[in-house]
Amino acid sequence: MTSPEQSIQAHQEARLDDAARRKRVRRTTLVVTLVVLGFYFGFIAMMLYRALR
Amino acid sequence: MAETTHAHAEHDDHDHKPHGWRRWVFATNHKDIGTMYLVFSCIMFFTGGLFAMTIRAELFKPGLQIVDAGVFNSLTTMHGLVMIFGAIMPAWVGLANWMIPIQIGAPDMALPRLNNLSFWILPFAFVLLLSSWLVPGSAPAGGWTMYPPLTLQLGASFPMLIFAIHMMGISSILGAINVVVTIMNLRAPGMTLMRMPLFVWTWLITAFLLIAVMPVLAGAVTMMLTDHFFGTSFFNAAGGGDPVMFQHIFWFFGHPEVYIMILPGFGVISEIIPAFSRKPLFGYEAMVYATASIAFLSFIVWAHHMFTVGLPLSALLFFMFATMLIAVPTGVKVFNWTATMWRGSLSFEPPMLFSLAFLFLFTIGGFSGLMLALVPADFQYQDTYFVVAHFHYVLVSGSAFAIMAAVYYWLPKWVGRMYDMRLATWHFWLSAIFFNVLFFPQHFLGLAGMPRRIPDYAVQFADWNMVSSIGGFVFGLSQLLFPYIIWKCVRSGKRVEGTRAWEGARGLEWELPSPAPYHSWTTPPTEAMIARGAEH
Repeated sequence: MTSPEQSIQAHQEARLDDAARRKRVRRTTLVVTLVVLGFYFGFIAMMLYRALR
Repeated sequence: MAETTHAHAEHDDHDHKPHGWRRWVFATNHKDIGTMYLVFSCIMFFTGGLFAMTIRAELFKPGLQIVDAGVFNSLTTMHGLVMIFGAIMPAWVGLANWMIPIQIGAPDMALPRLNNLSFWILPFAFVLLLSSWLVPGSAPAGGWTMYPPLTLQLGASFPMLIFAIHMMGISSILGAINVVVTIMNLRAPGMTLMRMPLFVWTWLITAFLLIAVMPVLAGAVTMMLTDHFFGTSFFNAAGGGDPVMFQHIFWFFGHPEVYIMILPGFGVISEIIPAFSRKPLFGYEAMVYATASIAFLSFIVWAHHMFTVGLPLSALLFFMFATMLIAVPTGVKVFNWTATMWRGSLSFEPPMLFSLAFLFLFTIGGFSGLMLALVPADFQYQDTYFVVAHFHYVLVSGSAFAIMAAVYYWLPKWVGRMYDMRLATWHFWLSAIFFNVLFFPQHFLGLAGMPRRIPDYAVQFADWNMVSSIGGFVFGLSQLLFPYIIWKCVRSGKRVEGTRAWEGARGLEWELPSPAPYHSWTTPPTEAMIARGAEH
């Protein structure tokens, strides 16, 4: 688990590069969106598999 | 104190905001979007409430008096859909928008334009859903659970229902993505996960639940759409499909959905009880792990909603025991809230009163839930008014009371004014008493065998139905006090002095001036501020 000191240190380093921070936001958004799409199409695919076997 | 002064100086300079309609239509500020969500939720609460009042008026005495059976079915269906997707969920997203950034020391949500989109989808979804009253065949009438084949037989309202559900789902998913990305990336320096307020923790877990289950609902209704219009047979037994499979998929969404509506309430109560007990929360870490456990368990109990469809014995046993297991982390929470109050210096302002009502009434709903979890007993209770009583004890006290507690707790921070405490106390007592008059007799009706979702009933059920309806009318009317109290507070409430509206309140939101500035935490909070808020 991150300590408060580590968290402050990490933020100080991150603030030096705002682009890196934006990149991290984009990456998290992309990962979560892929999970959403995976669940949506995954369930439909599961049902198709069940219907066609 | 020095930090508080520093906060004042920092934020007074940044209070520029757009004016007129553009401020709301093009809103990207988390507080504006939060306000819009809360206002929308309030409108939907009264719309769904109007449907409920009509249902209770029809059930006031046996026979058909006010509406015919078809309209009655539409009323129960629309009441469920509007209250769940229109009132409760948007209220929590509104509170998340308002509170999460200021509780973690972030200047705004991580994705402000997405935030705007996720709000503005909602009014269109509900205009579409509510306008289905006007089309041939009237509004959806197959129950909020939309089971096929009944729902597949709807008239012109069917595609409207499916499209509206898709839009609500997209809105919720976008909101959840925003919450996850904000909490994972925008916490202030020093705000570690285990220092976050419990409202933020419960919302983070709720957001993961939303991300996991809303696409499942969307998938299920998409398959139903193709069954209706494109000749597929996912849920059509005549074509080799399986209508019970819809129930499995629906409740794989539906049970976590119950926790989506309740977990943020757990977070709110975990903020309010310590504040009005003037003690730190008992067992902070246990609360976090209990919330995560409840969320995990919510994925493996779905079939307790369908014990009577003909499941194998092994499945019945598994789902029964898994369901009863939820009592363990829930018990941890109730114990910790009680232990927080133990030997505390308690005071009973409206947020605390609503929190205590939550604690008592939600526990009653939990106990009737345990009764329903027992397979042999559930065979008797299935589809009776006992189930209706159970889930209203869980959802009205677990969600609606918690939302009211949250609004009464944070309203002085939002508007910088205190509300009329006497009226709010009246609101509480009327709500608490008549909530029980409304729903407690429904346990008796269910145990005596009255089925749910019927407009007419045997004369033997008349007395308790009349009591329940009287409770419903007073409960419903007393809710009009809520928007009036807020309106009066915004217009002419007494100004709040200093940063804290409540003596025992802790957390970063109480380090900001009241009202919270339009742009807050443009400079991150200091370590001392975070440490003060994280005393647990």
